[in-house]
Amino acid sequence: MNHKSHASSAAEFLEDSARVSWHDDTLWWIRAKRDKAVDTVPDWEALREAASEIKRHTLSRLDTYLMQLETQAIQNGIHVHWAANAEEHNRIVYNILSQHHAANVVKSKSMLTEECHLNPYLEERGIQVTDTDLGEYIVQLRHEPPSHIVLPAIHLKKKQVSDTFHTHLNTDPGNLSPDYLTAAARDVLRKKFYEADAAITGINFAVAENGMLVICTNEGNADMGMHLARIHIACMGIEKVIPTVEDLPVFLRLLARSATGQASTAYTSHIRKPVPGKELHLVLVDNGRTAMLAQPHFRDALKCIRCGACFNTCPVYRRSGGHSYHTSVAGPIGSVLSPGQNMAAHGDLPFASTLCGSCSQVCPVKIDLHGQLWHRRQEINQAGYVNGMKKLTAQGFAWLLTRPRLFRLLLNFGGKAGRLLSKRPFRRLSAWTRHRDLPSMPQARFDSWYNKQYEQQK
Amino acid sequence: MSSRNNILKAIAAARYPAVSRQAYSGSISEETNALAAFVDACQRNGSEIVSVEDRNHAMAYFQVQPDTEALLLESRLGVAENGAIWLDEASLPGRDAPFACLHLFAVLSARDIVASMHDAYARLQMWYNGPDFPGFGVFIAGPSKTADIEQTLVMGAQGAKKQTILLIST
Repeated sequence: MNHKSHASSAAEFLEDSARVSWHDDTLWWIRAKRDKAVDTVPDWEALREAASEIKRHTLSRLDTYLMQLETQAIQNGIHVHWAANAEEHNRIVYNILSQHHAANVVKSKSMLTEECHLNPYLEERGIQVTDTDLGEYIVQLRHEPPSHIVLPAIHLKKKQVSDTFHTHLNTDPGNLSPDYLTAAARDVLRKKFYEADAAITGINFAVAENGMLVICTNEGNADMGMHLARIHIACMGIEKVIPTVEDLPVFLRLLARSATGQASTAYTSHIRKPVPGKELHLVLVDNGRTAMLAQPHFRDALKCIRCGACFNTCPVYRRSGGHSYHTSVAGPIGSVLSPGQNMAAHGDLPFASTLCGSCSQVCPVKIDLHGQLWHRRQEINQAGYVNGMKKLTAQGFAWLLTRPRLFRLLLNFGGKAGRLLSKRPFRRLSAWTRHRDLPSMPQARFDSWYNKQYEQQK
Repeated sequence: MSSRNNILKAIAAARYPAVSRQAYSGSISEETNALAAFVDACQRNGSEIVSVEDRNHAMAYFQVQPDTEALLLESRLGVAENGAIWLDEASLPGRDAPFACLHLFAVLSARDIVASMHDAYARLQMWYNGPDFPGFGVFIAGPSKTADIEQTLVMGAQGAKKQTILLIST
């Protein structure tokens, strides 16, 4: 494991408490916008149920739909590739680019290519990749990974963006205007779009019945890229396939409302055939997805449409920041997915949750996220990746709670012990009290108070 | 080829009873005033609406508008719930056109506004003979936008900076 644990990265993030509050409030504001948008849709719950059922059905016959997608796509003139893992995905993309001597590539947001670490792979081989989503462009200039799947630069203040642009784009120092900064990036990126040899994009939905790819963006960067370049390479995880055109509105009505509280993204593009003389490639990637499909507890996580709603609502994500998660997909869904790919590296993530269940409530495809986090914990514990102290504490409690007499006896000392532990020198003993005040302990226990009342009433 | 077979084999090996497929007929076609809802949604997605009498009037309006790199297109489908308009390859000078221009003007007749995205796709499937969609088509809901810098909404991130819908209301 060559990264810090979520807990220790979060501890660093928490040192700047004003910034933590800002981060927390910003994400909660987006959650509130989502609520407002959702309230305008009378059939919201029915839509969620329908989306969940379409995905469950598709996953239960994934091979059939993938083969149908492949057949249709080929008929449409699309080149179809299959990649078992990240390495193969990167190799396929590189081979297409090198065959066409493509040196300049524009990329629109694709969490899959982040998951596969495509950028460094291509850069090591002499290909210049520009991330064109504004947020992704900002973090790329700063050599940082995105901290959120929909809002890649949500962790940054405009001062930081301004400084970064001043260094790299020579913008006026100290000009913090988002209008000015966006315009500066637009000018640079427009040039990149017109110079690009190839465009790489992700996919939101791939329709099996007609081999059509649907891509949603607000900026229009995916469209600028793919329509201007000679070659378009679209990369998708195999779980992105849906059966029919009729399924599209179900997901499209849910996606943007869940993500940002918009009724729709500005652009919802449907690509079915390449323009004559240009090339369109589709790369279907497994990278751990079939393994997840084989696990009954976790296959539902493959329903995810990457809206990010579970991030925005999660009290742990909001107060620890995306970079604490050391994975390409952070938040509750990332904490379910990542340990499936590498338990040794990401086994700490399912514990970065209070299991409050808010994520499951907002998920547009009804993934039982907090249930899955709990299942991951069991699995990780059985595999021996839970740290000794945590295990010992849990075992100690289990022992005590199954001995009611002893438990009641000890409760008599609970108040005193609590008052003692809330004193400053003792606070450092427990991770829980290091950052929190214990509530003040009452003089009498509730059950003895209750019994006394009960006696008096008689 | 081997990865293809391995992936399909792994899926087959994980096979479990098929979850039955259910159609969702959640169309909200009873929406009483699709036009008002469309205008409202456009306001929220940053599109300007200009009422015109007919196509000629729309054309005249476009010819005197001051913006450079403006583009006039015609849409035959608008969606009330999100203010999106549909454009397909046949109505575009090039696939990049509605994104590369600075100010997109679209003529739309109020008669062609449907209530929901379900209604919209039902109409598209009627036009395209079921799933036989064109090479490219797009729903556009307002100008290009971003809020990637401290969540401040900025119009004109990469695509068009402005959008005007010339709405034929009669």
